[in-house]
Amino acid sequence: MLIDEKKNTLFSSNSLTAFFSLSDGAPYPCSNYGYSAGGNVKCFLINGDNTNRGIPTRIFMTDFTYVQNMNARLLIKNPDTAGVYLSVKVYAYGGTRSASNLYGNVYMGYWNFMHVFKTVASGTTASNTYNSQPSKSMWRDQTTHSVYGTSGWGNMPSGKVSLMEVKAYDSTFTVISDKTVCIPSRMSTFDYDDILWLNTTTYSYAYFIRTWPSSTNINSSPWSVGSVKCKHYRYPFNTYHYFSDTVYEYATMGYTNVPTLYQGVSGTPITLYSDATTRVTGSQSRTIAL
Amino acid sequence: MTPVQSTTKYGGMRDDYTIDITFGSTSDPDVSYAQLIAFIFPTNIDYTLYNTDCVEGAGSIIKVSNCYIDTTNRIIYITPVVSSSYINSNKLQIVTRGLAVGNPVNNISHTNYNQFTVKYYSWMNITQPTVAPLSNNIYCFLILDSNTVTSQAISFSTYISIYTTPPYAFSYVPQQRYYRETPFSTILHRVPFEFEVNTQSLFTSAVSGSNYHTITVQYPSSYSAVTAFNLNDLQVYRPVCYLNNNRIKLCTIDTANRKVTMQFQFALASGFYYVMVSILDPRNADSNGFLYTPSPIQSLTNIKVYMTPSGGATSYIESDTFPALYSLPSGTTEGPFRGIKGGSINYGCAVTSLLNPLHMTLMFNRTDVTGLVF
Repeated sequence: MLIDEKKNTLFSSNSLTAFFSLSDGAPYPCSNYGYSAGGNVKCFLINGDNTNRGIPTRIFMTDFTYVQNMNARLLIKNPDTAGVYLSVKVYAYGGTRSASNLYGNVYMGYWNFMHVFKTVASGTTASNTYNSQPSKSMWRDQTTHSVYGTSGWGNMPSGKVSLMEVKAYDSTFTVISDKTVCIPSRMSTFDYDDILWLNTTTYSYAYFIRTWPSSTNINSSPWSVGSVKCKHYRYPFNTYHYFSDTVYEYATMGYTNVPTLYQGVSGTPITLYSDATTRVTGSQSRTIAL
Repeated sequence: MTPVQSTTKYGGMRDDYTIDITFGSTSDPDVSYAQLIAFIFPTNIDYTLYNTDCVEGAGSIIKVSNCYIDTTNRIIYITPVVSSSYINSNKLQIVTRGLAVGNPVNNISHTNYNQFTVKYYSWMNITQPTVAPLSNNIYCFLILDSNTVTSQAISFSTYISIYTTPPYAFSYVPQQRYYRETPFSTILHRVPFEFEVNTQSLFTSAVSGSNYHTITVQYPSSYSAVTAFNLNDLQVYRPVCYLNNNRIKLCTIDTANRKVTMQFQFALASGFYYVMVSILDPRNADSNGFLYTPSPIQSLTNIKVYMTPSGGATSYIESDTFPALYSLPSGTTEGPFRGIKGGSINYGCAVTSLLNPLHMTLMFNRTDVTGLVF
């Protein structure tokens, strides 16, 4: 993945940096759940490097239940070089699985998604400070979020993707019970909704991902994400709507002044409002029964 | 210190080490008090630490509850189980993991054991205090250093002058830039060996007369080649060699030792060059290459390349392993079989450095796929 067949450099840094600064052998954000293949799918990243002598970066996926048409989702960061083509090569393995052959020891086939897209240096983007409303207080169970698009940008084409990043775990907190910041879980039963987990040394992120099954105006029909239950609000939820190859919207859902009992180690003191209202920055707000 | 992975300790090479620490004297402070032990690499020797993981060794008498490598400060922190039953002569053994230790590149002649420092820590509170082994001895009750350790040395061999292709430690995916991706050879279908090799600066001068540069490709025993013979004026199963897209006329095959050797006189600048060796049957254009005879069914293989400049020493490279054969669900070895018969992909966006979910659908042609490698 780091260098193409013609030895053009796709990623200027080595793969550990290019792929979320993970360690060699680290779990990698992936899933197949969204397409009803069962199992407890796991992925691992094996480091490659981007020199001519280098070996490719590889991501292993295993522990899925076989279905004839299987979906596989991977979260990547696009190459940092513009004008290059990303290709994804897939090797299928089977046979005996063991501790040293997690995915089987017999090579069974190959598929090359050649030149999936050509990178562009910059896209057309809009950003705003909020585009989401929680259904109830953040600390309550089964809180869903209605993620809207920005006015004029709202028509999400079929097959395009929305993504919401939730920081779920923060190892910098000193109190063990505080380390779990948010508990994301998948409520939707739609095949095209999914959660991918990214575990870095310091944080864990949950990525809610939807591949839109049909063209949808997300100004009027928002993406219902959830649930996310957060003990104390510390981090914004970042949302991307990818409308096309080059047009995307980035939004930071910044809740502030959310009444919580405990804010964490380094936050500024918070204000409990007498009307016990969850304030959302921007012009929208919701009154929530606590 | 004993290397785990290799027998020859090359300078600059990554390896794991088994480290034994035994404090033999009975009259000195009791090591059973130790709550933390810091093993400090010498500051003036350029060891590099790559990985943070280490574990208790099989030969350790003292049990280790935690072991961690501080790669920045080059310290191995060992948390032993605190037990009054431990005596000073008990051995503490740890093993690093994940090729954690990079051998010195510059100071390869020797490192005396007494250049390593070992500090034993103990404290009275339940919480571990912050210790700073490099700058002070707070909480430290025992130091093993140049005064107490014998000066037996560990030394390293000079690193070899040519790079070997890094081995795959985990998967057996073919090196995509060195091998053709498909098809691989099968028991029915012959294929040539094609790859790129870095010739370094071995062949930078042209030679003449009876002097030749030599590149030899050795294929594994799982491949068979037929010895050439003449059918009237037709040479059947003739070995052919290509280097840098030049047909090399002096191309011979030794089927007993499985070596194809090409000799040439032109110069090649340092860098990567395309090499192809094959066996041709002029009666059958499909017969191009080597036949695979698998044993067992699983079919991982690799090749070796020897490069000798005229009058010079031979350099050697071994390729990564690569798969040679598909297998059928029945478990028998058969011809090519596509386990993935189709696929589709969509993605979020094409903007550089942006988060991008890839959503692939793969259509399988068999029911026994258990793993995918992307």
